Amino acid sequence: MTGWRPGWREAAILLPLAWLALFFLVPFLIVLKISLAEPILAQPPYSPLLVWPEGGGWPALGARLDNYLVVLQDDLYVRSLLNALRIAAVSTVVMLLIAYPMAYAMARAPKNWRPALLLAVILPFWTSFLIRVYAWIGILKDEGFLNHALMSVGLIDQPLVIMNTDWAVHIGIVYSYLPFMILPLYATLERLDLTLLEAAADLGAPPWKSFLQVTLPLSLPGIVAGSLLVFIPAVGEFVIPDLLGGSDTIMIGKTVWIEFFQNADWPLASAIAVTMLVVLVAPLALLRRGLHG
Amino acid sequence: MKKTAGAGLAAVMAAILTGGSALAQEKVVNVYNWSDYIDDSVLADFTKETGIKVRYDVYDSNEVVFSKVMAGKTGYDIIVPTSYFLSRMIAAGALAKLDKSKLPNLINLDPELTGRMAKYDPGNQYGVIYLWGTTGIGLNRDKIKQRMPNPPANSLAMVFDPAVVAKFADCGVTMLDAPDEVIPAALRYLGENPDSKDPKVLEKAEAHLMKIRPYIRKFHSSQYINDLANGDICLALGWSGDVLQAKTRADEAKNGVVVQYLVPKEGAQMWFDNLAMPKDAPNPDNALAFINFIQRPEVIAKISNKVQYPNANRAADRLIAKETKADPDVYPTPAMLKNLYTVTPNTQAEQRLFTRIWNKVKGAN
Amino acid sequence: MSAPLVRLEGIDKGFGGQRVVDRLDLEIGQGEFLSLLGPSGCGKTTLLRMIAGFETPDRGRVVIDGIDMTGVPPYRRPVNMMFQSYALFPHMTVRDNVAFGLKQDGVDRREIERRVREILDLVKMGDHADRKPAQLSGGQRQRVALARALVKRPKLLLLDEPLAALDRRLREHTRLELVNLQRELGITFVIVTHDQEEAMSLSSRVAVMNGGRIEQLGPPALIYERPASRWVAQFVGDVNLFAGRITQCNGSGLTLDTPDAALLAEAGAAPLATGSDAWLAVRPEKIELFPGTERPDGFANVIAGALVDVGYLGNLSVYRVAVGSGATVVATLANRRPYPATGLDRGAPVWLAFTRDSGVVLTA
Repeated sequence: MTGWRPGWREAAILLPLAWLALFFLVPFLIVLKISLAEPILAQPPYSPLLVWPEGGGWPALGARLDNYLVVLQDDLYVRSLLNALRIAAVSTVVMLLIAYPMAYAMARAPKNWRPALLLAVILPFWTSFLIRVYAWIGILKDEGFLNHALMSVGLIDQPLVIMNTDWAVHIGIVYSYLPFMILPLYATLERLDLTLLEAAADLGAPPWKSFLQVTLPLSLPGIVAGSLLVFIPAVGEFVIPDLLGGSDTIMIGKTVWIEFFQNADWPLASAIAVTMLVVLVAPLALLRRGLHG
Repeated sequence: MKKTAGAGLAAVMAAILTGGSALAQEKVVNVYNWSDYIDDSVLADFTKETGIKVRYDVYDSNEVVFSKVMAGKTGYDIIVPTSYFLSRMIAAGALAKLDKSKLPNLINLDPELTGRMAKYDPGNQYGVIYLWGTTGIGLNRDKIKQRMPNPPANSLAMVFDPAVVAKFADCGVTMLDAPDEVIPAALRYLGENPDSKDPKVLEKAEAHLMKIRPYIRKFHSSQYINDLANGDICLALGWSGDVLQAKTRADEAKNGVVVQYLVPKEGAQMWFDNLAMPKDAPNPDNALAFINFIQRPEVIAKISNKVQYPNANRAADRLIAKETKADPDVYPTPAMLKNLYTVTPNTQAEQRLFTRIWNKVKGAN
Repeated sequence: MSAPLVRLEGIDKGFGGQRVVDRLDLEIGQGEFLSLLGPSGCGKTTLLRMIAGFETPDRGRVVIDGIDMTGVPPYRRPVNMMFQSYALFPHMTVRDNVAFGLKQDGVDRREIERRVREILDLVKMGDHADRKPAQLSGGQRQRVALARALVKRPKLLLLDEPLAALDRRLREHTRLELVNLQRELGITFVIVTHDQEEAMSLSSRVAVMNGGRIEQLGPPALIYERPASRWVAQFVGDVNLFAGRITQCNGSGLTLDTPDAALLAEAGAAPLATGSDAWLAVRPEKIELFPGTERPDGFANVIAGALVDVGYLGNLSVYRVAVGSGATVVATLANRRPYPATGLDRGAPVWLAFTRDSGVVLTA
């Protein structure tokens, strides 16, 4: 029998699929299942999906959409999602504006400098994320470094209230995620064929025009990759708004946290998580189709 | 969560270690307690006396313990949830009943306090009061004075009177991010029953909270400790122990910040942290031995002297240091008890209502 | 030559202490097709890039159409370049690639459309206007690159190894097209190449470069027939060099005493001193080969030798002959009769013969 024999090629495709199934699909299905349940005070704190009648027979489906109705009806959830999307979007744009020149300079730096520059970008990761966010508290708070510095040079007489505001959240997100924006940008810009820029100049484009017409469109994959890489986790960010944000910083991550931990309402928390995933993934899927269509 | 990653890992480790207890026949008890909430010598003494090793992990939020317990198989023998969370764990069937025959030292517990605790744990079957405290006013003496020479410092008006709290908005006012603490306090300030679950009454609390909302910089249940100590905020509605910790930190730092804790004259909510045992505790006998040991008058007194919270053990009273007892705001006298209240745990529906009010208040601006 | 289109004056250029172009002067005429020919590293590409504006000379001037362009950036020069890699913008269609230069100049949209269509038709790429470069073959890309460089009707088109990426058959075909195109458009072309055959077949003049200098400048035939030095003679085609001493040089001719024979040649314009060392350069196809022992008549120069081996190339055969001095002389003969020719076996005695005007006397 000369049947189909699995080879390396098939294994190579199966590996990421298995990874995705194991670490995304299965957990997602569990969350989906919980989102259809009812919160109860028990271990675990939600009703079972299948209710087995006493004395045998077919089980009844215990699924309900109540939690989704709550998510859609109570404007808190919509608002905190919109808020999170807005903060993440603004942060992403700011990051892009900072990261692009940095990545550009790195990609154009002499070849023997680049490893050192790359290292400098990654270096902050060697310190715990939490410590770095705490460090920002020390910088931004009323009695912090920034205010002391500004007051000592006489730029301000009253401390700026940055800590516990959306400003601090933006600063924290931009700072924490910046490397994830720089690296994909650097990768695309470094690969950019410089003779294309010479060709543009030769055809009459001054540097700024060739940047807009050649460099920028060709670095679009890096821009998209970097933006997705920072935008999506920033939307769900919990630690930064919790530590740096103020009372009016309501982001979806915090809302999920409250429902899950404070209210032990796992089904509602799961429903929010599923909704958030749909809101984030659906446009991406459309975008992908748009790009390929 | 701030310390969850470490604590979670510790929990997993403990689960693995205790699951494979056949591996080592040594006797252990796995304790999961609040951070900075014990005198370490007590643990050593317990091991010396019983031969039971103590594996000790810490957390800093009820929510984390609760979620872990609800998920099951924590690997812990002892947890220390606060009253309200204890009642929810009981309702969820997550806790083991304590065999009182193995806890002779409970005889010393103050019936006045255990009676109040019975609201959360009927018959005191699942929890033993470890330490307790109040929810009140924490403030930075000098910054408050600067802004208001004669503040109503020992009154809920400090945070709930819009005209008063507005004066402190610029130096930073925070509140606990806990609806079941702040809403009852608001009701008490308004002269309503703090234990009300009536939506109409709760609406009043919501409406009033909206009035002071603009002056609140942040709702958070732990950050205010550091912020008070450093002078980054000047007023907080918080837990007695936390504010006292801020005071200690400020004193140690010698940064010139003077932190004070005051029990509001209108009355304050009491809270109780309870020693309890998860239903699936791997070493129940060791856990009971631990609880009984803790309730020895000299042991619990040692703990109170160290962490400055009152306990519920009457026999320990005479062993409490004079300095600890000196400030009734810190260590309430028995006479103050009548002015302190407790609230009934919420049902799931009531909880959603509280959450909704809370989210509306926090989100308003 | 009327006023030159490009004048390079005393150009020096170095990279990191390495001199690449060395005090070079060059004039390029209007409508000319000039090849810069040389081995890699001779400075030809650097020279081209200095004309385009991508490099600035360390010393000297670049004058284009009477204007000093030495420090002017590429986007302000009336010059376009076709890159060796073609450098097509991968994110644009063929049409947008070609229209790019016109857009920069703010040409009217309809005019752009018309001229793009026109130039694409000229390079026979009209049907592929909507494709992206990745969807084109190498030859098609080459034509798009050419169209893009030509669409602005530059005064001067620079081509950096334009045919190097094509396969041999396509290369020969494209060569013809390039020549026709240049003639048709009347634009001055300057091409950089390391392929002497390409330079010969394309250009009206060839500048042979070596070590940052121009060794010889002239029409292809002159470069081939009258090389100025041994280096040029050897770089452009194959050559036999007979080393010797001049024993006689006057109006009637020149005699070079070599170990194998006293060779006769035409005397050049400048008289050469007798007794000085010189070389007679003779192209292999200019040498006749006679089998047998009988010395052929009617040739000024005849040398005896023995056939070492024969390389059969189809239309030609290459014969390598050992002569008395121990040197090997190469002769190329057209295979006018069926191969192998009789009497030309290995080791057979042969005579090498060539006329007086077949060789060039070189002193450098």
